[in-house]
Amino acid sequence: MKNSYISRVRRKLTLPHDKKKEVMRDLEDIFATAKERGESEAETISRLGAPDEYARETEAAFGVDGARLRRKRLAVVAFAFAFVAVVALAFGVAAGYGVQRIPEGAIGYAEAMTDIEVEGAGFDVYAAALGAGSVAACAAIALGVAATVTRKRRE
Amino acid sequence: MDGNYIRQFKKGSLELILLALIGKKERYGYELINELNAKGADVLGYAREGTVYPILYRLEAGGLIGHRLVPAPANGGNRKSYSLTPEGARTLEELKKLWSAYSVCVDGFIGDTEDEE
Repeated sequence: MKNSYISRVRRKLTLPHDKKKEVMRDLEDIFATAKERGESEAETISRLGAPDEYARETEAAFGVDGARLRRKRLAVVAFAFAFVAVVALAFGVAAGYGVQRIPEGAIGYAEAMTDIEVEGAGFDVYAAALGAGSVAACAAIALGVAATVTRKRRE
Repeated sequence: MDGNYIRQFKKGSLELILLALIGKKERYGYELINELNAKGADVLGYAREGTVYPILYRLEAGGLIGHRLVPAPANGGNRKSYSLTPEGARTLEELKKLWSAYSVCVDGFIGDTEDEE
């Protein structure tokens, strides 16, 4: 009961990290003190109020707009993913270009596959970079959409 | 009467009451709640952690109160003991003056509604 209350508040409460840590510490303290004084967890919870409301009131006390801060953090993560996407895709394309290019001054060029096996070449850098880039791009787009949707819903 | 209306009304005075209680001596959070319930439950309603702690956070963020952590082995950690900052002591004095003037003023308006004709 106590644990589910505390984890619900933890999930709902958006504050700068040091403030949040303090609030969570205080909650543990509130429960511990109440227990020491012979109070049940249910009684303590009834005095704390609904966890969502507790989180909201606490955000307001610190002058923090939790929803806004959540969006901001989401946007930072989205930008990070977008950055990774751009770098990885650029690298992937460059690597792919390198594979296709015939070195200058090369004598002869085999159109068909040779049966020479290069050891350790099982890992395709081109595909890996392209894959990572695509995944990161999708994540960035999804986060961007999520941030926009939550903002719209709030308004 | 509208519950929300009453709640707003009490919230403002609760900040002053908490400052006054902390101003008398250093106190733990649960002591504040006990004290509120012992003296004011019939008028203010039962003080709850869910109401009091956010106010304490606000007062602390505003630099009016501070706390120190006192080891509390029984609950396996530390307990916060709140006290006024110099700024808090000044604010308390100002608010006390304002409150007296305010209550006299409000009384003046609501006290003689009948002799007006």
